[in-house]
Amino acid sequence: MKKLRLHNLRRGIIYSFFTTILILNSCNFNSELIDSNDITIESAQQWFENSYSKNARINNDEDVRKEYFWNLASKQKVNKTDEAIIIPIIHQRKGENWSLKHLWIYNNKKKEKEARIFEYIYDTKLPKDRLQGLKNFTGAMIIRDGEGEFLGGLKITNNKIEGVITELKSGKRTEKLNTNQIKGGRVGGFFSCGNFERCNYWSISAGVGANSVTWFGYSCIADWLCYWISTNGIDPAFTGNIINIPTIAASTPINAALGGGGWPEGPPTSTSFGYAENTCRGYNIMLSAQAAQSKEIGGAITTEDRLIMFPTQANDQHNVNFTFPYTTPDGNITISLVNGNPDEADPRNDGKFQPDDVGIEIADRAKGGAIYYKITAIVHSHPIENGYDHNNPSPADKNNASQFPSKIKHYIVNNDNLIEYNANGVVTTVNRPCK
Amino acid sequence: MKKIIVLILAFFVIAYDSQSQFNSLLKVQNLPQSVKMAFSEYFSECIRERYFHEDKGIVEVISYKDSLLKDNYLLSAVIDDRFLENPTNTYYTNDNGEIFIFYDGDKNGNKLKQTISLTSFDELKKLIGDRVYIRPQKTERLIELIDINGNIKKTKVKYLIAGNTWNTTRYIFSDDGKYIISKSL
Repeated sequence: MKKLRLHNLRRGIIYSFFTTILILNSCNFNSELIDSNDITIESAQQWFENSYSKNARINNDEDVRKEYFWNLASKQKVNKTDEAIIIPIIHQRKGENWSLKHLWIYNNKKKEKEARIFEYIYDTKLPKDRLQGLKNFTGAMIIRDGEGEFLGGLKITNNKIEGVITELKSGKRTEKLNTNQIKGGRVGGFFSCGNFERCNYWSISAGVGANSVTWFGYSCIADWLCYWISTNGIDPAFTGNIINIPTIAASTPINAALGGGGWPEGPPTSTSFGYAENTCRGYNIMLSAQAAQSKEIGGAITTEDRLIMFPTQANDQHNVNFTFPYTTPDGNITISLVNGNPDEADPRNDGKFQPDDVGIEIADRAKGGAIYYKITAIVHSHPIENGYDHNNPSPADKNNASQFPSKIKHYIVNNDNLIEYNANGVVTTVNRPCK
Repeated sequence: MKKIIVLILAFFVIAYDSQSQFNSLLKVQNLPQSVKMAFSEYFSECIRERYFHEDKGIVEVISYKDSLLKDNYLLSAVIDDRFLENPTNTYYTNDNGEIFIFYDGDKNGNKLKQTISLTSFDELKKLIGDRVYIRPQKTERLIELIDINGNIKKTKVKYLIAGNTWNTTRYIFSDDGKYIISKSL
């Protein structure tokens, strides 16, 4: 499977690289053609670290996390003679979710090495399960140079190019191409992301005929939205190109790196954790594990939508027991619950966490230390059995919910539904995603 | 003469009632026979399945009408004095001395908070007596474990149970007195 994925990855990267370079050239973005000059992963890494690491925007003070996966770097042949080194990056700025990026290093016409960073901004109107993978990507692909300078981008729907991005607005930050860069671009527009309030109007009716009563109202939630505004008509000759985005986000090594503990995706056992890169796959894994082990499964959802499932030793067919901290048999902490600010007693407390934050700390045995994951929800599975109420929380469930800050959500997942509940009972019931 | 006898009997009944220790509490009197039978069955299950411990245990009942307007009774086995945080002035007891404390619930079975007098509260404590354990005061649970760097670290211990801790069972009654059972998960 791993070989197959890498094969697809290589092919995807080649297509992606080719298409993007072609488009950037057609739009006069001053990008350089690739020229062969016996580039190697080692030479690319050495050059990049000497040239960029201290200055590049991707390393600025706003970064919470940045990892260059040089161990996953690959040398790709992009045409008959030219090659590039492609390195996946996980990057997270303060207050933002992590994102997957690609660093490409190649030799330009002058036989000098050059770097490009590719970012992927998802269209948040997509279903949640499509907000992480790069298969049939919909959103914006942003291209930067090694310093992080904005070089433009592409608006893409299901891998089909729909326009060229000449301006990027994100929160208070606006980046745009200069006139020379835009000149020659046949399609212009900007891609903007920011906080918006999304409101849904609703009505409820009861009764019949003259006795009927209808209530109207609306509910709003804060959301982060990205939208595209075209400043020119889209050139029919330009649009419609299909671009193959690398699918590296789904590869096992990246998953392992994201897990912090070298975890592949999979179910928990009596004495080990389960892990899924997103809740969509995570719910499926939980329910499969429940059927296989005849035990309910419990887990936590991180702010990045990862799902960590806890060992099942203390669970049974109808109960989940969360027993923090989980330790190895020799008493080493593997995972613990942090209810409150983890830096509270730390003199370097920088206010990054709030007193009502809840997180889990996972020992990172590969690198030492522990990784803190802020969590947004606790989830447990319910089997569907005759004589049992699988769509409602038990009184104990509601009691547990009352012990957490109100911003932590609580879910029950069963084969049919995903049920959110709080200390007072069910809040919403929806069809289970990714069923 | 007959009138005098009736009056004397009535006096004794009133006098007997006024000597009850639980004048401020409301004893549920009008339960249908099928409900009484269901309650008795649940109480036996609590003993048989060890929901009760040693000689401790009472049953908490949340009585409500669901969204289909059916009579629902949510029964839970209680072995500690958690009733002190949300006391009720209503109870039911059968001839075996089995105690059921009653709460009204909303249509989802959530217990509705009620305010009771201090007298009722005292009487409730007397009614339940030593049938439940007294819970200790909550304290932070700390344990010393070894972190990834080999250092001893004080770590908070937290147990959470997502499941049917109190063996809650929902009895849903039809108009004909028949019922179905749905256990919490």
